[in-house]
Amino acid sequence: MDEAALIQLARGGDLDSFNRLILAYQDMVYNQAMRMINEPSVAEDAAQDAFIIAFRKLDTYRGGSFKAWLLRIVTNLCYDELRRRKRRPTTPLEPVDQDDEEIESPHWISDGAETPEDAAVRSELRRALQGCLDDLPTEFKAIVILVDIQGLDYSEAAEAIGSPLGTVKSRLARARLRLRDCLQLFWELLPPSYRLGQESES
Amino acid sequence: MTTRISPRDWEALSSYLDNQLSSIERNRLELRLEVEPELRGGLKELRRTRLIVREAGRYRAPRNFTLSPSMVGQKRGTSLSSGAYPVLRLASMLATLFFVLITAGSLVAQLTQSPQAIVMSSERENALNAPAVGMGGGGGSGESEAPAFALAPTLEIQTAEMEAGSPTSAADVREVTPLAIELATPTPPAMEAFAAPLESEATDSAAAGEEPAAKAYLVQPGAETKPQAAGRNYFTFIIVIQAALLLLALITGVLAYLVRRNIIS
Repeated sequence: MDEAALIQLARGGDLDSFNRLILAYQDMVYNQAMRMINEPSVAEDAAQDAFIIAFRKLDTYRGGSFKAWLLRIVTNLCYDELRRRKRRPTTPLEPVDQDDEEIESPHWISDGAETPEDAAVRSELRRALQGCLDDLPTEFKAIVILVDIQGLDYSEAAEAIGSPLGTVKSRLARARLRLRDCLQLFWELLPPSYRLGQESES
Repeated sequence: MTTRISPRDWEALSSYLDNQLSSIERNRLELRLEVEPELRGGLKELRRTRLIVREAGRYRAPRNFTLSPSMVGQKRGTSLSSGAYPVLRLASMLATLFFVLITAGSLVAQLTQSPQAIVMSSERENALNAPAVGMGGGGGSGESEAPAFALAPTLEIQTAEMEAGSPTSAADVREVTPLAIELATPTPPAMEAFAAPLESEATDSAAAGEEPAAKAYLVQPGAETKPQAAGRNYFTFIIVIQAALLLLALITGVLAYLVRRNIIS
């Protein structure tokens, strides 16, 4: 059954149809929340809340990209969460081992298929990137995640953030520039392929 | 690091990377890229940054986020169940209620009608007995004091009485017959059916003997009176209604049960 038919059934209260849509989009929604908030349990809550809100507000969906509509809901929830954190800042709990020592590379971002060296580099790079993303203003972070990580085109991204196309273009360019500057600080973490390109330019 | 590229140029480079420029804008930028190394360098930096972000990978949902009815405030059973169950239940209840009411009403009507029928029958019997005795005993004066309406519907009573051995002679029968025909004119079809065999058989029986002639008064099987036919139609109608209501109650009840149990949805 296609997406439009499932949406139509879900609008009539058919929860099974909506659950099929959830299964199709849950990775994307969770990924958005995780990239925005960078805390698994909070991201889980945001994703779950996003789907509950989406089901309840399904009658407000006026066609267009359903993916963008879902991402808009979860992104708005992430904005709320980040605003809440700004008002009441908290120190995130780092995972600890049996001796109460912090684990440097949390197991949830490791990839079992890689060699230990590659995995270590990649996980460091991910941490660096996530750190750079977290330093971005919320609006910039949202747009760079939507376009560069989620793979939305500009019009879908504009739908997802509820802003004009021109805003998407300018925010994305500025976000990329800030990320470029931030990633310079982690230069030594970049794989050789990235560094060679940089060196040949300079 | 490149700093002389304007924000507008950075935006154009970013859009160029994503192939979001119009053909005119793209051509213009490509011409500039050929002659401006700083712009080329900026494009490479942006491309690299984008590559790093894209290779960051995606998190996968740690669990399924599928919703249960309780999470969205739904009672168990959705769509059809939520809409059809109350309707089916109500329909079943109403059908059952009407069935009970009509059955009870029908029974009460039958019970209250039976004593009345007995009383009416006895009255009619009395009305018929008076002229019959007068005609039989007095040699047949030919005058009847019984009202005209009493004769036509109670012909079967009269015939039954005669069958039971009333001392009415064939001659009396011949005398009563025209009177009966005359008095029974309000119900011509019934009397036509009754009178035709009555006259001929009465004559024959007069010739043949005495008592067998009384059989002529038996009402023919197909010849029933209007009140009888109406009564029978009424009871047939009631039975049909009862059957329909019972069927409706059963069907809607079973459907309501199935919907409630989510066997159908």
